[in-house]
Amino acid sequence: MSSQRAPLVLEARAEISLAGVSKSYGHGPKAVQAVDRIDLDIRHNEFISFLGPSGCGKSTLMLMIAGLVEPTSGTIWTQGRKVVGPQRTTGIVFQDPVLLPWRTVLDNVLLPIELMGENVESYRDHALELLNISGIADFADHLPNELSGGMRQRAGICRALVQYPTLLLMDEPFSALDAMTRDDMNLELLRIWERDRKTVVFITHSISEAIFLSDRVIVMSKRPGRIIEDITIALPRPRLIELQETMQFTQLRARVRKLIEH
Amino acid sequence: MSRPHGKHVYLALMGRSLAPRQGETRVSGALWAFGLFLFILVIWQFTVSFFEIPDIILPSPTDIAYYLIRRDSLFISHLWPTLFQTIWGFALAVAGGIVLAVIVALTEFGRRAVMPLLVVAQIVPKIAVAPLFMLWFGLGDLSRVLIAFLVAFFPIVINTVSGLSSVDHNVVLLGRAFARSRWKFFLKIQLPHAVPYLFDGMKVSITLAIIGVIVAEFVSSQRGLGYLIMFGNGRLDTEMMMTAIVVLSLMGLALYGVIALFARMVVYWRNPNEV
Repeated sequence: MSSQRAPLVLEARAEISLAGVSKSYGHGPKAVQAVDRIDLDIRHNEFISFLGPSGCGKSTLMLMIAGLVEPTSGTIWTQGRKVVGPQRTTGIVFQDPVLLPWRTVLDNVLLPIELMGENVESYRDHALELLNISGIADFADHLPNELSGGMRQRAGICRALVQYPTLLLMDEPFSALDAMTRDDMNLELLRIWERDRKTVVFITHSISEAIFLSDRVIVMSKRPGRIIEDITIALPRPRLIELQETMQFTQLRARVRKLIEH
Repeated sequence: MSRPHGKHVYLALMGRSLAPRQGETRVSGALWAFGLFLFILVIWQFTVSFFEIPDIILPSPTDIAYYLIRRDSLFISHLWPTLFQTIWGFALAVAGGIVLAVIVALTEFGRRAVMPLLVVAQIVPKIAVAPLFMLWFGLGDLSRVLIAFLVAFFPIVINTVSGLSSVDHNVVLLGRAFARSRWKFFLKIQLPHAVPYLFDGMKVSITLAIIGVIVAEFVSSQRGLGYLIMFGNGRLDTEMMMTAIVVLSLMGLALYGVIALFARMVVYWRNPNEV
């Protein structure tokens, strides 16, 4: 549980490295600093959460890692290469899955493949398998408006996984869901992740969710977003819902809450 | 029927409760409007006969119906030119409107130069240009079709532009992350997204196309329902005028119905209650 803000060395295991990454929007006196000098190494196959209040620049940080937003200063590397634009090896899950209403669930999952101009047929089985793992295979041929919110978000996750990403970015994916569905989704996400590990960057403002899911929780400050603390979560896996009632979990939660209120 | 009344009233106040209530089919919903329509007809009929209003001022509904039956071939022969010109003008408006919308939504030139010009040009009352068109394109069908086009294309442009440019921000990000080309994004996401908007535009546009043709027929024509109205007017034949208006309304209703039906088939993903 050590604070990890030492200058960066590009170790072989670092999947993602951020060095002095800042982002401000606008110019001159009206400029808003969203993210302020972030230094961080994310290891291969690590499940890492960014936890912080609304508007702390978490989403901006995620978009920068995705290569969809350019940092004002600083550099991001993924797999040793500087990020200069979006990469096919990155999957993104948004808070609102925004499935295209005219496409069936299966066709929505295959959308990235189609947009990339690759052979959709060769991914069809994989997409169906993802739907199967997420428990919505029966709805493959349904339209999104026939699905519940939780099911839609499952489809959104399948869409993010369809092109075999090595990095999965998730921006508050479950915050629009009710508490019970959310617990289900957390468990399911862990199940998928444990089965088929990849690096996950998860953004949330729920302390429990961050601790429950992650190997590491990065606690961020209010705007401009800085790293307050980098906490390693040494809880055993596989994790079950009951874990949230253990002393260890409660103590971690109390500690993080204190950091945020600070 | 278990839906709470409060929500229903709220939706009604928001002007969105055109959807049928639960347990109510679209047909039984339409019956209400039809009932009111019949009621108005009865009042009309009664008023005309009770106050002995002369035909030349206001013929009764049965007078009109009888007139239509008696001279059906006259009205049918004058319906065709109006109908065909409306359809042609409308088709041109849809085609031209889509092309313009794509230019406006996708190019910097379109957004900065074409769109403001189009909006300002809407200040010109297009009907007023009708006599000019006669001068330029002659007194034939072409002028009338072009006037219908001119009157009808703008809603197509506006609606399609708003459809093309209202793609959800996250979907845009998804497109930026994966789309191999601008064209792929346009074809797979923007265009289908704009289709419901296009149909909404078409519903407005078809009505305008009819107005365009009728006005053009007023200005100069030897046939068509607009001509028939003017002809009846010249002879103080109010029955003929009103019957022509009825036929015209039926034509408009049928065209609108065809578009609405087509929209429901094409935009299969839209909840019918939203329409």
